[in-house]
Amino acid sequence: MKHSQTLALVAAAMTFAAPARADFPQKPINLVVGFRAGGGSDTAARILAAEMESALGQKIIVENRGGAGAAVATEYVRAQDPDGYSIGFAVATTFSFTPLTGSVAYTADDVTFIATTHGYRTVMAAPLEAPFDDWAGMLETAKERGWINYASIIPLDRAIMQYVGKKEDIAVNIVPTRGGAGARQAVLGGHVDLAFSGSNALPMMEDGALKIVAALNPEGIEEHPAIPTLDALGYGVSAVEAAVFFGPDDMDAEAVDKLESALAAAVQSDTFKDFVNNKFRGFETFKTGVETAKGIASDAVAYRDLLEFISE
Amino acid sequence: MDIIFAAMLDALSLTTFLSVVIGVMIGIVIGAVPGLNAPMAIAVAIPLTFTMAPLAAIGMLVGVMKGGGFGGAIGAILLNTPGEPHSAATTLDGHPLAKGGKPRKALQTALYSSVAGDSCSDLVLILLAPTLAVFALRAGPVELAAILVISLTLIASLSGRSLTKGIFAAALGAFLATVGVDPETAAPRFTFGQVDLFDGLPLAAVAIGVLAVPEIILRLQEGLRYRPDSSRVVANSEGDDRLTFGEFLNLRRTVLRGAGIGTAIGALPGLGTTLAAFLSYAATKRFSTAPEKLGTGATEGIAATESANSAVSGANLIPLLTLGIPGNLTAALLVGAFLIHGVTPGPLIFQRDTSLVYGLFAAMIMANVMVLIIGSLGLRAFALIVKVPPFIIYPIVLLLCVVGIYVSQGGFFAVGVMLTFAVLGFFMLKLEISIVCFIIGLVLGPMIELSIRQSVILLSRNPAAILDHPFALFLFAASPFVAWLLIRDRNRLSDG
Repeated sequence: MKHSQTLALVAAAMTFAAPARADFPQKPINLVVGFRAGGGSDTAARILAAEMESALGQKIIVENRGGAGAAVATEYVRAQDPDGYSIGFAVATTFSFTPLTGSVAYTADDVTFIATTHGYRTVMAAPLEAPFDDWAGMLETAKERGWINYASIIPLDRAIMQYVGKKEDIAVNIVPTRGGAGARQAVLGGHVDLAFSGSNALPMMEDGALKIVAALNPEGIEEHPAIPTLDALGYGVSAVEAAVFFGPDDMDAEAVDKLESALAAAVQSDTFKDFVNNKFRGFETFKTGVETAKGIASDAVAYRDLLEFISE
Repeated sequence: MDIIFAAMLDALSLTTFLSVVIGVMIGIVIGAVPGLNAPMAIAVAIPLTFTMAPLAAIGMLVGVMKGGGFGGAIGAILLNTPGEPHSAATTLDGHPLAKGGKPRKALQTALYSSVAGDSCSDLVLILLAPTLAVFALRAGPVELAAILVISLTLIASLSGRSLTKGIFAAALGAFLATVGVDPETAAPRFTFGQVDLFDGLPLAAVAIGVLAVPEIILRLQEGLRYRPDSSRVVANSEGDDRLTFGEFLNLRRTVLRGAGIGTAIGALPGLGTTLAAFLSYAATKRFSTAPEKLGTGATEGIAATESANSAVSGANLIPLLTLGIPGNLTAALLVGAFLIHGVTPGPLIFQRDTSLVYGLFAAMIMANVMVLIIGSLGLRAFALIVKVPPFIIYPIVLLLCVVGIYVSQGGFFAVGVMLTFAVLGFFMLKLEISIVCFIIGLVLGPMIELSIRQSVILLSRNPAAILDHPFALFLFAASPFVAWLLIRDRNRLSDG
């Protein structure tokens, strides 16, 4: 080989090698989604992953490890190498509420937060034939009859309703249901007086199939300002739920930065915005890793107080 | 009416047709692979549809769902590897028939019954969806509890020779189903600190472990003594390995009964495919002229389970489209995909998304036809699997089971669960304890627990309200009578 050719090759190799050594990512990234494939959470994660691929110039391999409100995925991710190539997708309550129940071994301090990408909205739904139209009417019915039947989906909504029952001195009969489908069935069939629901209750209400008497997320329901939040009703409690990207504890700082800015760009894409606003019916919000950690820490304090109050 | 026909014609475009065809093929292949199943096939296909036009995307997913249903039967019949618990019912007669040298006949019966059951329930969906949905909603926890209790009583007739062993197996299944988070208090039960167990044991891993792996081991033992020229299977698989039209016509009662049971159960969210398949099988055994043949490779048995579980998938869309309530995992995946493509379930769906909904119906009919055509073309090829010497095919099947369960059920943990239950299954096989009863207990146990606990909570403040549930009371009252009837007829029904 001629000398000049060798030089050219070395030079070429260096131009490729030099930035590659500094730049994360150099290989595909594994994204572990804490929910089963095909649902709303999984879809959002996959849309974001596709957007991140173009920003980072590397493949993002999406793997679903559903179960226990993303606790299964959290346990898996936190045992991985914190080099930035194994990250997870969960929700805020996976870290702010689940550890308080004492059933998992991790806390919010055992992971590195990368970003919050969008918010979830949750509501209290009532059957169409319910004898009340609003929250006050629901309380009145409960007081008159002496009790109210309530379909619960997750431990957090259960705790919030126990809190309301204690504050208002009404007996809340908590009927456990399996997932959103069970609670939906109970409320549409009129088998309960009140049910917890995700934002998929909104189109049902717009179709005139059920009533919505309160919102649990502090932001409320923008397009239906008549629905009060629990905060506005004077309870000072709410269910703060959002999609959270995270990694193992003590994650490589450069990787966190790169991933965070890739996500900041990804949430601006039209596909994602359309999905969040019109299909998932959540709301747009973006928080950096630091902001996410701060928010989760303060949520956890609020939930601890809530649990203490109901167990008193 | 004009709009409906216009929408249906719209659906008959080449793109939609091709999407349905591709969907059916993906479904059949993934459904047939040991360890994988229809929900897995849909989960794989959903990201593929993100960029497609809504109708093409929905058509493809419907194709995957229907293809996956038949694909599951292929694995169950030829290899005894059910991808989902409900396919365990198809292994009862399907696998003995295939092993006995008639794999094509077994597959044909499954295919025709499956398509017939599917078509019946699709018709009900298309004609009666809104009316039925409103009616089905009236079934609350109390009614579901009653239906489950009487169903379990009926299914008890499948307990095999020993009633005691059957009850023991079902109780063991129900006990293992309590593993996971308590539905009421959210306290972990028998999880030993393992987060992986919070949502319960992975069902497909348990089903394959207990049913398929011991069978694979036994066949490998046989395989060591295998001599190609003396193989019974190869010798018998020529000749009379076909289901004639007349034979299928003789199964019409069984198929219609299965379709009816499947449609009714599919329209009631929360009961599920496994219940439909086993209930149809139990009913067929009860009314059969030759009940002693069931379980030994009777086409009747295959027709009963396949017509019922396929009928569930169409009827499942009744609560899904009009109420947004998915009846099983497959339907839950579909509702997510529908949302992505702009179909919002709700009572006004027929007015709001007219063209998409009727396009969906057209795609469903198209998918049924395609399953029939593609399935028939593939039959000969699929049936050849049985001719492969056991020492070649079974190690591959075992490997596929491990990989499939790893991918679809949650990593090495699920593989560990599968292998653990393989040991249990091996002992159950040797001790002649009904594995079917075990699976029924495992699948129905949590449903019965939840609906009874819900009923107790709902009625706790006002027990007299039980009188508002006359249908449930009737079923509860009838259960002991049904049990007595079945015990009286045991000698006739069981082959012992």
